[in-house]
This record gives sequence, C-alpha cells and structure tokens, in this order.
Amino acid sequence: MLIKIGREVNLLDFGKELEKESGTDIRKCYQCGKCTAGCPMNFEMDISPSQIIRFSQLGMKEKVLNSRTIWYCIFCETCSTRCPQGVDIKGVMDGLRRMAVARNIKPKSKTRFLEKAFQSIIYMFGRVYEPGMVGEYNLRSKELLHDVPLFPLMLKKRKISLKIHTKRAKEIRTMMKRAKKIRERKLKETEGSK
Amino acid sequence: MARIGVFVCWCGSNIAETVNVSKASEISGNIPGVVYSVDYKYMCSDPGQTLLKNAIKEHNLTGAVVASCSPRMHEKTFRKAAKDAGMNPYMLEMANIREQCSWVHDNKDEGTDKTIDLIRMMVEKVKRNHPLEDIKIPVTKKALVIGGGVAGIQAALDIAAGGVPVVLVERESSIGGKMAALDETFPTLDCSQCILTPKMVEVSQDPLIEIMSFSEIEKVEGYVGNFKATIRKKARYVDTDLCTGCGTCWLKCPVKVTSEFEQGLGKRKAIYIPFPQAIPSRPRIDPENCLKLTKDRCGICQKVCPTKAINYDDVDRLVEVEVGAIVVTTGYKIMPVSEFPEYGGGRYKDVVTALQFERMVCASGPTLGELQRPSDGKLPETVVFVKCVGSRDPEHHHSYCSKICCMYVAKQTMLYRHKVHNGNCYVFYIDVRSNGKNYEEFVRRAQEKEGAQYIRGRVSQVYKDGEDLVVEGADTLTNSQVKIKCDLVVLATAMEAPDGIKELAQKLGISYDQNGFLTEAHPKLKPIESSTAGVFLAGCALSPRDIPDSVSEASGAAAKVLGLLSKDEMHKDGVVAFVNEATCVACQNCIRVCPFVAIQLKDICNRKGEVLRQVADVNPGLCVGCGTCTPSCPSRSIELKGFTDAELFAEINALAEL
Repeated sequence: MLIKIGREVNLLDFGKELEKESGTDIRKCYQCGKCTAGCPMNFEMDISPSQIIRFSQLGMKEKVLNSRTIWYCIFCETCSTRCPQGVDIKGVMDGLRRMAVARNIKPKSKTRFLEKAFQSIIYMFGRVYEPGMVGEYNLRSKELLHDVPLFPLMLKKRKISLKIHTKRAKEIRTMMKRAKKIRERKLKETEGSK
Repeated sequence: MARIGVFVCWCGSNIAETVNVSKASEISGNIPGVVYSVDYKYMCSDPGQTLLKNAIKEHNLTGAVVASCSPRMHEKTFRKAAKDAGMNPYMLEMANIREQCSWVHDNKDEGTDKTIDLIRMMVEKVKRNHPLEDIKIPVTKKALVIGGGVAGIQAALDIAAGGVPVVLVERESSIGGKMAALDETFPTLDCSQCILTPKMVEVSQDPLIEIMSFSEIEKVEGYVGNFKATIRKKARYVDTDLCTGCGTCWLKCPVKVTSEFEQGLGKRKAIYIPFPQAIPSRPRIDPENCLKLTKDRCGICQKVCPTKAINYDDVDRLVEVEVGAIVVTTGYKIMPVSEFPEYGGGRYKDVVTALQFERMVCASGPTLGELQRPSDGKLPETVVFVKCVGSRDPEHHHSYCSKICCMYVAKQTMLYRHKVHNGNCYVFYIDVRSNGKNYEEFVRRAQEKEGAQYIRGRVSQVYKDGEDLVVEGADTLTNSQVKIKCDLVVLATAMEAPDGIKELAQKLGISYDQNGFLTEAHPKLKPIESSTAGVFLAGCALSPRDIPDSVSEASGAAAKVLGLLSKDEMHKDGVVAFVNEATCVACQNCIRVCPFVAIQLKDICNRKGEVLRQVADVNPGLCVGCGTCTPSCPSRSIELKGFTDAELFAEINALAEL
C-alpha cells in the first residue's frame, strides 16, 4: 500500500473535525497497541483500533471512514480505559461513525439495521419494545428466522416481554422529527460546500 | 558628587539593529551625574573590558552603567573588571537593553527611546548605590553523603580521596543499595556484586569515611559551609563495636521471615544481615519479628553471642554532625507488581518484577542461581518480559520513561537464555531506547545472537489458564493480536522516587518535582546542584538513570564538594537582607515568609544583660537575597542591600518623570 500524503491531504482539517466529533486529541497516541491488544471485536475488524488512530493521524479519511472497524466497535471502552495516553478510542470510533453518516457512507455491518429498527420502535412507542425491534431487524436484514428458536426460552426466563410500554411517545416523535430536519439541513450544507 | 560612566554595547547586530546605540550613548551623556559615555561593539570582549577599566581610572568614575545584555550573562564579567580598576564592584549596574529591548522590539526609534529610559533608570540607581562587600563565611571541612547506594559510595570515596572526612548515612543496615541485589550488569555482563563489593570494602577501610548504617536524617540546620545535621541512629539491638560479625546469632535464630533484600522470594532470620557481603557486617534485630522483643521469649542470640553484643534495651540515638557540604544520593524504588492487577500482579506468584527476576537468576539469590518459578519451583520454559509497565503511562501511573528498562530487559533475556538454552523468551516493547556506549549493540545481540523475540506492542492483560499464564498483547507491526502461553511473566515496572524523599527534601530545603524526584538547579548547566547552596545531588534521586550515569554524577558531586571545601572561607554575594533594628517591631512576618530560614529573632540587651526587646536578625550566610522578606515588612525595616527602597524608587521616578 502506498500512502500518499503531503499536498494531497490536509492533515489539520480532518484532525480538527475528528477532534470536534470525538472530543479527544488523536495526536496524543504513540502507537503502543494496547487498544488493539485488548479489543474483543478485533477479529471482525479490517483495520485494528490502533491503526484507525494511525490512519487518522495521517489524515487518510477515506480509509478510516470506509472501514468495517468503526461499525464493529461495540463501545465496551476497554481501549479508552486502558489507553496510557488518555486517547478516547471509543469516542474516535463514535465520531468517525457520525462523520461517515454525514458523508452518506453506507455502514459496513448489520448494525445499521439494528439502529434503524431501534429508531423506528422508539418513534412508535417512545420506549424500546424488544419483540418488535427484533422482528423489524430480522425483516431488514432479510433473516426472518434469525434467533427465533430462542424466543420461547427467553419468554420463559423473563428476558423478554410481550407487553408494550409507552411513555411520552408524542414528544419523542416531535424530537426525532426535528433531529431529522437538522440532519437533512446539515447534509445539504456539506453537499453545498463540496 | 557622583561621577558615572555609561557604556552602551552593540552586541554586534543583536542590539545595534533595533537601537541607535550612538544616539543612546550621546543622550545618556547629558543625564546629570554622567561624566563619560561611549558605545562599543562588544563590551564583553577583552578590549571592551579594557575600555571600561581605562575609563574608570581616567575619569575617576564612582559608578558605571553597562547597557548590554541581561545581568545573568555578564554582570560577573563587568563587576570583576570594575574591581580590577579599583571600583567597588557593586557600584556597577547593567541596563538590559538586549533581552528587554532590542530582542522584543522592531521599531528602531522606539527601541532607542526605551534604551535611553533604561539607562536613565540605572544611572539614578547607581547614584544611590552603596559599596558592598562580599560576605565571608568560614567552612567546616567535612561532608555528609545521604544514601549508601553505588552513587553514595562513589561520592564518599572521591571526597575522601581529596582528603576531606565524610559521613555516609544509610537507611538500611548495610550499604550497597539496589546494585548489590543485581545479578549481572549491562552492557558488559559483569557480575554486579563483583564490581560493587570492592568499592564497599574500600569505603569501610577508608579512615576518612564514617559509615552510619541503619540511620536516617532527623534534622538539618545551617547553611553552605556550616551545616549541622542531626542523624537518628535507629535501634539496632546489636552493639556494633562489640560485635565481630561472626554469624552465630543469625545461624541460631529460630524465626524465619520474608527477606526484603531477596525481594520477598527468600527468607531471613529475625536477627540478620541482608546479604553475606554486607558492610558493616553487623546484624540488626528486626523488632517486629524477634520473639524476645515481641513476646519476651527465646533470647537465644544473646545467649550464644560470644562478645555479649546483643542489647534488647537498645533505643534510637540522635547524633549531631557538623559538615560543610551535603550530597544526596537517595536512589529509587521500583513499583511493586501489586499495582498492576490487569497483569495479574499480586494475584499470580509467577508475575514478578524485574528486580525479583534478578534475584531468581543471581548465583547468591535464594535458589543459588537455579531458575525456578516462584509458584511451584518449575523451570520456566517460556518467559514473557513486558516493558513500560507504569512508565510512559500518564493516564494511570507515570508519564516519564524509566530509562533503564530497555537495557536490563535485554540483559535479562540473555541471562535467561544462558540458564535455559532452549527456552523461549518474548519481549513486549513500544520503543527500544538504547542510547549509551555499546548499548544498541547489546540490544541487537539479545535479538540476533541470544534468541530474544521482540514484539512491538503493549500487553493488554495476563490471566491464568490452568498451570500456565496467558499474556494477551498486540503486535502493531503485523497489526494483530498476540496470545502467548508462558510459565513466567517479568514486568519491567517503573522506577519511582523512594519513600520519605519529600520529607528529606523539606529538611534540606531543596525542591522536588511532581514525581517526587529531586530538582536540579539548572537542567543543563547545574545538573548536580540543588536549589540550596552546598547541597549536591547524584544518581536516581534526580530521575531514573543507570549505573554509569549515577557513578559519574557522584564523582561530579564529589568534585563540587571538594571545590567548595578547598578554601578556608567562602565568599558570597553581598546582596543580602538587613534589618533596621531601630524600627523593627519583631512582628516576625519576615521570619514566616523567608524560604531559606535565614531570619531569626535576636535579643537587644542593655548593659546589664537584661533583654530590652527583640528584633529580626538576618543570617547573611543563609540569605540568598531573594527579597521575599522586604515587601512583607509592615514597618519597612527590612531591606535588601543593593535593592533598597531608595534605589528602586529612584529607578521608577526616573522612568515616570518623562
């Protein structure tokens, strides 16, 4: 792989944006690899967490925003807790996800279905309704019977309930509509600036 | 009538580029009291100084102002020249027109105006200056070395070689320090004890060196050349004069305790010497474990002692020594494994510190050099070394690099492979820092010839899988996670400032940094001086360093001590505080604020010797002229010579008049 940096990449712009989105300074990282060493999701990742930081330091935004890694991070914060330099790696992953969404980059994992399902359930009831959410996730991911055999056992053990709880669903719906509008406006702005 | 000369320096183009120096010197010539003014390219050069000397003689000057760089640079130069020309050196002042004018301005007219203002201020000050004399202080020709590790030993030997008596104070019952516990040393692999013990014996045989082992500093009073140290000789329960070190007592003692010297891996008795070559080779009784002292039983050591040296009623004794200089070589401690629960420290016996590993392979160690892992005595077939444990970790532990770990880990991989020829050893590292003579070659040898496998990455955790330990880490060079099943994990834990260093620093009036390491007076040009005159520092008391650095610093400190004590009396700058006894009301404000404890109360008596009242009194030997006391005085009775209110207000007035 040839890394082309210099005039082609503006290090500061990407670094500043990432710092704003993640709330952490990636320049602190000295590449000890402790985040990679303890990452429980590393087996699913194409680029290791420490490499995400390294590529970000080099300003290679295409590489990091199009990686699987940022979508497979489960936010367990093992990395952020252990980082000797106080880099919030989890925050970086979160920030990169948001930056990817803002650029209309399609997520590289099924997480996106889960997030969609989560949002629509919240939109409906104002609270989580797990059977509905799982159902919608299965519909979206086109795996209709995924985990269905587990359902009766979970019901029996009271890990899942069929009862619907709603709470201030209307207000949450208004909130989400407004958030959607803001996001659309922002997306237009970024497209306009391009 | 004042006759003042003004000398304006060009400093090449440093000043002349932003200041019209000839105009400045011309206008300065018109200031009342100035009888001579001149500008010159380099005042600090030899011809420049000659110009100053000749002008003082020819024009019969009573004061001089040199407008050039900061007094930090050349005040000594010019004052010496003035003294040579017969003028009191304190009648020469410097106007700083470089750092405070030309370097910070770019407009030439404004720079010139400011230069003239600065010169005018100093001229007004010089008019009010009084000739001052250097302060002469008698010197006690004896030195105190605190800490009997390799640095303290070297400092004591070098000072004694210069003919000055030394008191060497050591907290433990034997000198030798950490180096005595090491097996072999990098980068030559020579046996640590074989090179250290000759020096220890030399110390014990030197008639000029008095070893006070098992003693601590209680109090230090006085000032450079005249310190008075109170040393607490802790109760040893053994009369060191009567004892011959025959060893009968510790052979017969029935109590077995974990040995501190063996890093918790071996046993010692309740009456013990830490290691066979201990100096002085006199045992001490550990009062917490001795049966006689805890339960009033046993008493075997007293019965068997052929010289009746055991004294169960021993108490701490305080000894006062008067010394002229102090060297602090208090060394370091290493972080215990229990600070690292993620690496299984404290939970698994087979996770050890590097110092413990050192004892495990040492021929004089608890296993006599046979490598056995602590839990079950098995020969470790795979060993993992983890570097930067606690170091370079500002979030959790220390931000600094412990400096020596890279080298001793390379050495320990070799020691391991020399014991276990087909054993595997892995080293987790972030960077390899090998900046010393033959150090890089040594690390390469460990990897190329001695079979150590280096893995670039930090370790995330260590856990137990049956009998084995599993180390989970990363290899950032292949971008993958690494899992190693091993028998023994060695953590290169960080070097830390030793216990009690802050208290000692406060007793000595020297400063320490946020990590507890002592601070040098200047990081480059005064690396072994402390902020207090007459107190020198060497070795790991300053920051982590290796044996060669500690030894050379100790020799450097010894040279400083010998230089200081070579004269019968010392000369000190005349700028010190003085008290107007007529107006002082003894409110003691100055005593409270003085950071150098230089002010005390003095009785004023009548002829019969009755105390009439008290006033503050400055000890000129201790006063460094910092001026903290002067603004604290409500009755303006304490002033700094050379910086009196009259002089300073004259400066301000000269500036404000325009």
